[in-house]
Amino acid sequence: MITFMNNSDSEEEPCNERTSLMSAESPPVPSYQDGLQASEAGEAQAHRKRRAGGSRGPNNIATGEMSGSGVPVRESILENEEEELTLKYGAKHVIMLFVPVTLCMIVVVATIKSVRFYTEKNGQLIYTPFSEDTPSVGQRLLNSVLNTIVMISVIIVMTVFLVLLYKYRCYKFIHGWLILSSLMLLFLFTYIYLGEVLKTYNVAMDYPTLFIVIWNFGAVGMICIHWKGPLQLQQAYLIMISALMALVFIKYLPEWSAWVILGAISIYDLMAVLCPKGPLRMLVETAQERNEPIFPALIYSSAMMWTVGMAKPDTAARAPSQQTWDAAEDGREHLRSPSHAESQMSETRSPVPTRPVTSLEELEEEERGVKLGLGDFIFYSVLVGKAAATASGDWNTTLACFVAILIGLCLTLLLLAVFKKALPALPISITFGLIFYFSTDNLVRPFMDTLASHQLYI
Amino acid sequence: LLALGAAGAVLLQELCRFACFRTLRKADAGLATLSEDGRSPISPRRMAYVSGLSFGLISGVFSITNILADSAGPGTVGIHGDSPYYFITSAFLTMALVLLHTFWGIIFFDACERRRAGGLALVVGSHLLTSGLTFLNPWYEASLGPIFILTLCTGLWAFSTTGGSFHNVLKCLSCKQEPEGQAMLCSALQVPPE
Repeated sequence: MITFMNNSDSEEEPCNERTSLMSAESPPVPSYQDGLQASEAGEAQAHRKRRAGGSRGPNNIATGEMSGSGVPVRESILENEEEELTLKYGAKHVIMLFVPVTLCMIVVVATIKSVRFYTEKNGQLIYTPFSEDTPSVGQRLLNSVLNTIVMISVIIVMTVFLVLLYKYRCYKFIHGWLILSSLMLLFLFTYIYLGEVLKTYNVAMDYPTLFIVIWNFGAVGMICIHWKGPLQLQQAYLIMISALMALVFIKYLPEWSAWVILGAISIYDLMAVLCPKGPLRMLVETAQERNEPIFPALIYSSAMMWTVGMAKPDTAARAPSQQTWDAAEDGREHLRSPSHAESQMSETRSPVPTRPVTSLEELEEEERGVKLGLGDFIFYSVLVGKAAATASGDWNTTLACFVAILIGLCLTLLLLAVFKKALPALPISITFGLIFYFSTDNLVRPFMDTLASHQLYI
Repeated sequence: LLALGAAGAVLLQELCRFACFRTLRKADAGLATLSEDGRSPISPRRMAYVSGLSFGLISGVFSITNILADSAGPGTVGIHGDSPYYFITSAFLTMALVLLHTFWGIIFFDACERRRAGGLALVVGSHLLTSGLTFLNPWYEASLGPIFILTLCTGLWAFSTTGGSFHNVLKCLSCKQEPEGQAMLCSALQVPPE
């Protein structure tokens, strides 16, 4: 079973984008290598139990060994079986991620196509100080590159700042920051969005009703995201928040800068997650050393995980919006399991050998889920939304970008299953998305338009 | 020149279908080696069907989405003298094309597996024929009619390729009662999975 964890987030002000897919071996993240193997074996065991009639010799031996000591495990056998299981269950995980990514994109595209507000130019963020209203093409290109440099540097600075905060254990500061940003997102941006949608459809609404609606929406959102709530409600809120954030980006990023930023962000993501000195990697490693959950900020999870009890002090940090901070494996811990509260799996405290045994039972009752960082959602939606907003070929380009992103996501998950460690989720998808956008808009669109005007089909 | 472009696009699609076939075969081989009993979890026919269906879906979606979007907006169909039946004929043509792609996928994969060039040539030929027929388009009797007949024939051909036949259909329709009895038998013999 591989749960993928992603680190990514994006925010308006401090844009820390860390998008990565990480594979979390099993819910408990032991700090020992042996423990890791044992928990992997535990997962493998559980899976095997769930498989129809698939019992073999090595299984039983492995089970015996596991419940015995836990630590010495037949690594080679288990690894092979792990791989098999990985690939078998990988398809399900891919589908589990397709649905929320698609939903987020649908929300963004539907809003872009219907609400005029998000396609009107109304100023720029301070992170993109250079204007693109210049007469010459070269100047415009230069300005967009400069905008990108400014934006990426802001992101790098914020990321490093957060890593330092985490390293020096300033948890309260981070929690406060996350709560503030999710507050802003849930209340202010929702208010603006609702206002614009009502304006578009010319629906009258009085302020008391508006206040009640927004208050309820925001309060339930804060509770769901930062504390406990039904899984589907939390997923819905995370999707809504990612869509809102993506809409803000689509509105306030100038045309060419948006494309260059998308490209640069995926390169940054690649480097931040894979380079040994990358901030995200350091964050993950620090969290693993301390064996504690990093802020499950902005991680979308598609299945329930146990570990309700243990994550209590850290659940406050579950601010799904701004900070893109994703702790690798620890993020999983914050996914609540509604029904299995008795799982006293305290991942950080319990000794290693006993974990595999409990994990067997736990695993049998749950489904492993996949996790993707919200920043990934946001940037995928930005790409598709920009395609919907600015492509003159309209729907063909949007659809092509959508398919490209899904293909990229699929490939990334495949690589995740193969490499079993933190992987950036942005680069492949965004690269495909950009290639498809530009080629469809410039090559395919004129051809399809001509065909459609003569009602020719190929 | 447009005809040349269309023909080129058709050939490119068939080439991509072939590339799809090769890639899926390799992936299938990989899956088979990893599975417990050495067989892949997806049968080749299912793969052919899914591949054809996906080709059809994308082709249909690309053909019709812009038209649908335009139909939601203001305008009059055929105001410049074109046919007023543009939307409905586009809808039917798209449906025919989706079905055709599905059938072509099945036939193509089957022909590739059995290494029969005749099947391949017929698929490519009928695709070119369909595309060519749409060139006659405002004359809908000449284009829609033959295309639907072609769809029907290709469907029957794909059905017979996968082993279906008239007798099979009859048997399936008439012995609906038997399989249940067998199912009960089977469940008595085996422990049901999970």
